[in-house]
This record gives sequence, structure tokens and C-alpha cells, in this order.
Amino acid sequence: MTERCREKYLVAGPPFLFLLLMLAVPCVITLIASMSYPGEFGGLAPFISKDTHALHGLTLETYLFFFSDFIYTEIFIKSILMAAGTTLICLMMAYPVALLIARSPKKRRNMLVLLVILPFASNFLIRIYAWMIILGPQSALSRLVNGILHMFGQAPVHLLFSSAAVLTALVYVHLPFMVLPLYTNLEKHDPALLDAAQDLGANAWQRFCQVTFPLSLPGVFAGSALVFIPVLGVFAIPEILGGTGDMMIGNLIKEQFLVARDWPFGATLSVMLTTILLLIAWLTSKAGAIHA
Amino acid sequence: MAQLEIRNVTRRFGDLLALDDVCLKIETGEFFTLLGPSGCGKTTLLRMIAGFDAPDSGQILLDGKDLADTPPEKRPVHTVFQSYALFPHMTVAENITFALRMGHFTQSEISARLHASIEQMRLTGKTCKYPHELSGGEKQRVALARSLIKRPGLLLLDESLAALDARLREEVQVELINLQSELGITFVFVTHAQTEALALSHRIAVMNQGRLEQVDEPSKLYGFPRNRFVAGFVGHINQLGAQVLESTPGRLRLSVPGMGDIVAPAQASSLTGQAGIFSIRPEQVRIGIHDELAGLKNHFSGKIQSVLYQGDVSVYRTKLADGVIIEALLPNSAPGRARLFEIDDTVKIGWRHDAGIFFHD
Repeated sequence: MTERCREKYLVAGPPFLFLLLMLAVPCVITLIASMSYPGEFGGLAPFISKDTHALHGLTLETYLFFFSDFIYTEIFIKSILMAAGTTLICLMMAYPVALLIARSPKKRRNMLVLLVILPFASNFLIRIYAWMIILGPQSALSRLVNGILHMFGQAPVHLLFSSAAVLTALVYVHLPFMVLPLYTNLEKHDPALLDAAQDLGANAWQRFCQVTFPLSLPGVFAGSALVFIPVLGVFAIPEILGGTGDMMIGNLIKEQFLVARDWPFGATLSVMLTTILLLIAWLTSKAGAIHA
Repeated sequence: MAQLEIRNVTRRFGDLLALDDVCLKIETGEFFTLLGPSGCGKTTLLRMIAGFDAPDSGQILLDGKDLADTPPEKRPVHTVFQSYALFPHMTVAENITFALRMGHFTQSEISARLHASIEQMRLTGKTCKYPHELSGGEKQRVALARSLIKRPGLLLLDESLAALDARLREEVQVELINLQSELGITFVFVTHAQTEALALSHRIAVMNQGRLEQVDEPSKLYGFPRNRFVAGFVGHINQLGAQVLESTPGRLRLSVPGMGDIVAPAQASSLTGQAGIFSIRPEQVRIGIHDELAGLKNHFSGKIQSVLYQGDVSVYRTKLADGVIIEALLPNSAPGRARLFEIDDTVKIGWRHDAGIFFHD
């Protein structure tokens, strides 16, 4: 190993080790926890016990339990659909915004990007509670919607504590994560390519479909990953804005640890979630590599 | 009727007058070049013909039809862009057939034309490659093939050879001339490189600050530039401040400070007493050591100040007694000799009485 090479490892080594430890150790702990027995009063049962009647050692019982009741799979599927829906809506809303910023004069772009990330300046929970007020039964929005429904002889609806409320807030919170990678990609496009396409007879729609969109796919994949992955693990938004039927994986895991005190099952759910996310991340990076 | 007619086209960008009442007629099958320094308006004019920009006033007519309301994608005019603008995510075949795929062409028509184009442009075996896998010359040929596949009546080329290295550029120039005469398509070529313009074009329009300075055949443009700008921009030229002493039919007698009197061919409009610039091409200036130039009306003594050896020719800068510097270009016909005269050689320089042009102010 040359001197330069060793230096590189010395510099990159500690942060890399830190990340590895902070990822690998919790993963291993969670994996072991998922295969343990629950303790009598929460927590985990000891591995080795003098009392031969007490449960100890490793088991796959929780995994069998997961598949024995369809309700858990259903929550997973619903969560994945919710995350996919959020991603799709974010993509459709973010694309025009990113395109607008990328095609606006250079000196205005930084200001527009700043506006996109400005919501991060206020606290996440405060923004979610703000949606509670906006969607609440006494809010102007609720009155307007129900007023219109009343005019057409329809029964009033509750905007708050619904899947729609959860979806709205999920899209709102994650939109910047879609805008930024898309903008970064679109900004690099050579405007001469669009001129060339137009010159060769492509109309505005064809130019978008043939040139802009295919070239932006790496940005689309990056943005989708940045939205889909956190949304799948979210628990605060459904907890605050969702109804009883809007439980997502994140809520389920939280319940197992804090309410049901079933650590092994909570850990099992976490392992399943992480596995699904890794699978999706791997597929996305493969798809991204093809189009890069 | 001219195929393309530019009628009194004016275009402003803020305070900048990019095109100033430009009128131009380009005939079918012509290789026409817009030549000028950067910022002279040549690219603006080209973009207007393609449809990417519109004149503030004036008209652009193609085959007698005003193009004002025709968007770029509907114009039967295609462009080869400066950086080629090949689609990086498409293969060579997809790039070339783009224009056909955007229109209503059958699959068999598309593949037939692609096949012919690949053959013509010597791109066999490259159809499945992506632009980043191609050499500069191949990219250039793909860009040409892509713009020609729909058989436009008019092809625009925007500084299309600028990205190539010198050796390749010469090759491509020859290819371009052959291709143009083979296809019979009108080429409108934009460049700032005068050698390129002279080599390729049937006619050249020299542009400066949004105006057309002169539109002529290359040899006319070089031999009889209409004004100082054209004389200085197209080729090298010696420029000397001068005043008309005597104007007779066919001949001018000029007074050049530091040189004395010289005789020059007459310009119809030059009057006695007028000040201006006398211009003469370096290859029209001769150099001698003894009195072999005594027969010339214009001859002077000087000293060789510097020699630029260029292989085929050498440029000699001669300093005359009063500090005036004249450049002369002589062919190096004797192989193995870098120069015919050495620095500090005392020489005579001279030129014929009918050489050079006087431009009055």
C-alpha cells in the first residue's frame, strides 16, 4: 500500500467505521430481538435461563405470527400503496416546479430553490399540527367543502382524521425532497438538445417525452427514493392526522414497542420493513444505472 | 425566384442592434456562408431562419412564402448545431431517424432511409453506438445525417466545424462540398473562420455589427473587398494611412507618411485631397536584394525585421526607413531552406501599380 493510499484510508476510515457501526450494530440487535421471546414485563426474555420451563433462545415464532394474521400484511400493503401514491403525487407536482426553476434565469434560480426548502426552517410537528387546524371541522376549508356538498344535497364530510388528510400532509412534507434532485438534474440539460428536437420536427409534447423526461430519469429515481423510503417508515403524520383505519407500518412498530410491549414482534416488523426498503433501493439504483 | 429571401430584417436585444435592415437572397443549391466576428449577428440571422428567433421588423421568405407564422418544428429547414446537440440517450440510429419518428413515416420507409444514410455517411457498424462512444468526426457525420434524413430544402450549419481539430476539419470541408453538390440542397453556413468560408462557399456574406458589409463570391471578396472591414477581416492585409495627391482616370497618386508617394489603382469615388487607407495583400508585395524591383512603380528600401516560417510560405515583416512595417508573403519553393532573406538583411520591397486598394474615410 502506497503512502497516498494509506492516507486516504486514514482520512475516510473513521467516518466510514462510524457509519458502519451505527448501521450494522442496530441491525444485528434488531435481528436478534426479532428472534427472541418477549420478556414477562416487556423487553426481551433472557437468552439463557436456569428455569428450564421459561422461554429462552432463538425462535422464528414472530415471523410465523406475522404471516398467520393477514392484517399485518394488509397494513404493509396499505403503507406501500400510500408511499407509492405520495411518491407519484410528489413527482407530478414537483416536476413542473423543478422544470420552472431550471428554466428560469440563472440569477433567480438560487432564490427559487431557497423558497422550496424554506418550510424546513419551521418545526416538522408544528407544520403537521398546522394541517390539523387547516383541515379541522371549524376551518374555513372544511366549511367551504361542506357548504358546497350541502348545495348539492350531499352529506358533510370530515377532512381531518382521514386517509386524504394523511396523504395531503405526506405530500406536503416530502415535496421538497422530490423537487431538489429533479431540479439538480434538469438544470444540467443542454438547451441545444431541445432546439435540435424542435428543429427536427418535435412538438412541445414530443420534446418532453423524447428528450426532457428520458434525460431526467436519474433525477426521477433519486427523488422517488428520497420520498418513498421515509414515507414508508413515517408514524407521526398518520398518528396526528389519520383516522383509526390509517395505521401505517411506522405506527404498527411503535405500538408493538410502546403499547403492546411486544419487542420481538416490533423488531420483526422493523426487519421486514428494512428488507423491503433495501430491496426497493437496490431496484432503484439498478434502474438508475441503466438510464445514467 | 430566390429560395430564401431575407427582407429588411431588423432585430434588437435591448440597446444592441443585432441585425440592422438586412436584405439577402439565397438561390437554390447554393453553398452560402454568413461570415463575421462573434457578435456580428450571423447566428441571430441563422436562428431566425430556423425559427428560434423572430425579426422585430422585416420578413423571411422561403420559396416565396413568409415564415413568420411557421414554428421551427414545421419549417422545412434543418440545422446542424455548433456542438452537434446529439441526443445522448439515443443510439446513432435513433438520433438519425429522430425527425422521421416525429413525423408520419412508415417503419419500412424509416429503415430504408436510415440504411441509405448510414451508407452515405460512412457510419456502418456504428448504428447501435451512443454519441459518447463516437469520435469527433463521427459525431459530425451523425449530426449531418440526422439533419438531412428528412431531405430538407435548406440546411443550416452553425459553426459546425468549430469543434473539430485542424486536420479533420480540412477532411470534413471536402466532404461537405461533395455532399452539398451531390444532394443539391441549399446550405447556409455560419462561421467566423474566413479560410473555412473561402474554401467552402459559392457566395459569402460578410457581416459586422448587424449589417451586411459585402455579399460576393470568395475570390471577389478577397480580391476586391468593398471596404476596410472586409479587407481586414477576410485574409491578411497591410493597411497604410494615405492621402490622395492626384486622381486621374484609372490611377491614383497617394501620399503615405513615412513612404512618400505611391501609385494605386483608382476608385471611382476617390477625389484629390481625400484621406483614407491604402491596403495591399502580403502576397502582392515582392522582396528583392538588388534592383530587380526597379521596374515597379512602387518600391522602397527597408530591413527585414522578422520572419514567420510556416512551411509552405514565410511571412516577412520589413521595416522601412521611417518605421512603416510592410508584411510580405513568399512561397518557400526551394525545399530545405527556411527563409529566403535573413533578419536584418537590407532589402527592396515593391508592388505593381495596379495592386492594392484605396479606401477613403
